[in-house]
Amino acid sequence: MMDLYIPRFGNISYEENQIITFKTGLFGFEKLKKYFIFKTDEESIFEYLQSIEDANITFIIAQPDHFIKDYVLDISQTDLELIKIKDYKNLINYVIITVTDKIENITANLQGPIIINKKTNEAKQVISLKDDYTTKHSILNKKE
Amino acid sequence: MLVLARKKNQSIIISNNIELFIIDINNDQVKIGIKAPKEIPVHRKEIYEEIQNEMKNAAKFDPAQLDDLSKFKKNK
Repeated sequence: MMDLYIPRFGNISYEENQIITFKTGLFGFEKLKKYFIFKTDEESIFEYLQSIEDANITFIIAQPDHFIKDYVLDISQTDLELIKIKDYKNLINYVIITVTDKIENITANLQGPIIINKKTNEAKQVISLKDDYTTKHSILNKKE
Repeated sequence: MLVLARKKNQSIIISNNIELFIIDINNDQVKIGIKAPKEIPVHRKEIYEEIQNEMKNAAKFDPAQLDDLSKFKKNK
């Protein structure tokens, strides 16, 4: 068990086997490779993707099935191969959430989803091949 | 920046393992084929930049908004 002091959350502990490796980093954060996921509320659809190498870097994430009906993960076979997905049962898919000044403006980045191999903890941020998915998909309207 | 003039069907090799082919040229549009090892990401720059920008926005959330987020509950 390890502890990380996260400025926006305080001390959060994680286990070695929770460490997720993004070999090529996230878009715009290419140097940071090691993350873990934590949640503060079991009931909430939101979780947090936390950089281990830079405690200031936290992303709000969610599994898109929670707020989009008929969500489709359309990505290249190469991306799946790069995190060694052979069995789709091991694939977890998240999207990054952006909250700006107002909660009403909450959006999900459907164009750059995250895929994780839960067996090997390898992960990658990929580009969706579905061209009607944008980086700013409003999730509030869909929910109400 | 290195600038090379190429004609249709010619190519450029980068670092032994990446090859760019000029497939077609039509007025102000060029079709480029890219042969590269699969671990080398290749993206259209504008999509790449858009996702990068959105990631920078996403990382900036204010902890005061986390309470609002707790309103979003799982349906199951």
